[in-house]
Amino acid sequence: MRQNGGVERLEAALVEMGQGMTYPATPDFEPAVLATLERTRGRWPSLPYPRVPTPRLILIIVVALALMAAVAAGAYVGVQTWLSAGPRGVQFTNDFELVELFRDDDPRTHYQELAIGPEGKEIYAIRFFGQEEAELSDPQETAIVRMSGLREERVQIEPVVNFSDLKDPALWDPDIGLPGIILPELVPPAVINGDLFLMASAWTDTHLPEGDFRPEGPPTGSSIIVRHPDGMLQKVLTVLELVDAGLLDTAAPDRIFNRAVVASAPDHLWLQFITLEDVGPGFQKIIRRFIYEVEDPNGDGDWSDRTVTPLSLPDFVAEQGRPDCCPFMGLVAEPSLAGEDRSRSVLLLMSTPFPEREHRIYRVSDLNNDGDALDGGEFELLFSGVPASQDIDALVVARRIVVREGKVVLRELVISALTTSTRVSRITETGEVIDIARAFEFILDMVADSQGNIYVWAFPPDGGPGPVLYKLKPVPEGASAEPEVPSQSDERVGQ
Amino acid sequence: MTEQELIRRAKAGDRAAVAELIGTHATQAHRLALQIVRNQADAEDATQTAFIKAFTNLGRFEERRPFAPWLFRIVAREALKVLRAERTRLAFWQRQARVTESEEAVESAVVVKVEHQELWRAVNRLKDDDRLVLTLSYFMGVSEAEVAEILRIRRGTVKSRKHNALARLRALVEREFPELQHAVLEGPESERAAQ
Repeated sequence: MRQNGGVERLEAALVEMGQGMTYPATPDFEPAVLATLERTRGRWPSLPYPRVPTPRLILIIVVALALMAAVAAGAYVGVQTWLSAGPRGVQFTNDFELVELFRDDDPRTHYQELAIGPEGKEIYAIRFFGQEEAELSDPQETAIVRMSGLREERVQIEPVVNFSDLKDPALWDPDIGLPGIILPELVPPAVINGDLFLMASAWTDTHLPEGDFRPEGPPTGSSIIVRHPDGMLQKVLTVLELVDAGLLDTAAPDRIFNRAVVASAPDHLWLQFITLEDVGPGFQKIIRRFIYEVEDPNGDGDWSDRTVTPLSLPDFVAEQGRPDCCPFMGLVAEPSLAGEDRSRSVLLLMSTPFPEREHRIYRVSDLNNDGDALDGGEFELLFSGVPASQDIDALVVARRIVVREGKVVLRELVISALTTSTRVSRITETGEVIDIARAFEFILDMVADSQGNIYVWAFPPDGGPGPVLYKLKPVPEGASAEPEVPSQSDERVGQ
Repeated sequence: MTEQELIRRAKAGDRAAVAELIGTHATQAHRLALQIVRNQADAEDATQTAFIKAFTNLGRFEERRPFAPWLFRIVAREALKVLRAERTRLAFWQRQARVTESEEAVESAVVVKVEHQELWRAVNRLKDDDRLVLTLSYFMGVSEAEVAEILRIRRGTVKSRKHNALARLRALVEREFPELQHAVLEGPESERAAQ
């Protein structure tokens, strides 16, 4: 009784509030709408419903059927054709099959920073978890999880490292005391030969400020930690150790806004820190990029004897002004496959500043061990391209090296949001950009394996509440994916 | 001229009919978008896009059906799409750059009276689906049948969705807005019962 009375009162309060609302003036939509309709006169009005077939309409239908037949035939003779996963589904070219592996419809979870595991059997990701929604995630529940079953296409998710379990003082700088809250830094874990490298930060705070997902102040310590296959944890390096060794400015730790750790071999890591610094009055800022090679010299998996070598970069990369952009600044490791040793190089992403805004991918190395990437062959441009979107869409790059019968048969890059913000494209060795999937609502991450599979973590075009893990599986040569139902444009409404 | 006649003319490409339909429904459509996205610029974009999509696809609309629910469904869908895209981008960048969403920015589009501001804050804490059904039912004055038409659900489902949304709002008020409890949950009857 009290419940019903309460609800009635609540309804009355809502009605009362609705009646008292004031709205901004309604804009005049008529000119813009009419002008747009005029420009698209060919599509307006669309075919009335119902419509009596006329000879002209029958002719159109016959031509359309002939075109569809041609498209289907084209698919079988190897012409690239767009297929669709269904109405309001992802569209993909017929040299791939699309499989939906996992849909994160749970508002309490949030997965990001994907990394492909050894042999492409699993994906690792950071999972945030909150009691009601992931945005208010609980640090106690934050973990790196393993998504296994990729080959079988039945994904199972299990935590591998809980960040709250990283309280062993041996994993941190000696003078920070016992850590309180421990959170991941937003970099994908580096996974190689069963070892998993992660970057985490610790605060002495034991509770998060209400509604926030990190404590207010800077962390007391930031560590790179390795988890061995047997579950043992070991500190590899801390940011403070870089400072103490004179490899990073003392003020830099508080200015770091972008980080990366990637593994190019079981005994070889690459680190990147990017700092954002004020210069002069106003909002003038520059970014500084620091890259380090970290090695386990005897390759025994014990990182207590690791060596750290900073790598000097060309000036235009090491220091950039006007950092009004851009998510395109990570590192990507290249797997060493089929006898090709890529352990001594790493791919570096950078953008030229707005308004020219051009994305570039360089291969960086120090082949002659002189501490810089300035000599011949040490700073190699692999790709440059202007993104279609000047927006803040997430640009993700994955290295795709396909091995068959022990030989590398394909070397390329996969990139998201380059040609349009909703697409995934291949970048061939010659620099050609080929779109292979489109209509994603928002692409969050992407990884690829040595079998040629590409995994895309993206919000789906069907309006689902959470992201979906898609697998783009290459179709064997000589076969083509069957065309499914013709796609309906995202623009279609009122169906 | 009846709405059916206007729609028939609009389908035939009559600009004046299109203009009249826009004029008739613009205010409500814009208000619905404002309620969903709570941002003037996004609401304007969503409404305009919805009108363009509606008239581009008018050939598929059966003119014997009421136009407003069909249009509002498109508006709601466009507004939710804008909202979801914004939220996704914001969530991404919050995690990357530690920016925080400004509550003022969220609440600036629709002005409510001072005495309703706490309740408005509570409503805005609800999930989109709950907010949409409450907005249509209580702020837009849309009938239950029309809500069913807009959301493309059965009338029974409208009832249950509304009930669930109210229950969640009630729980939220009890949990986080104690100062509102007396005003919006404990009516005069329950006060008398308590005495």
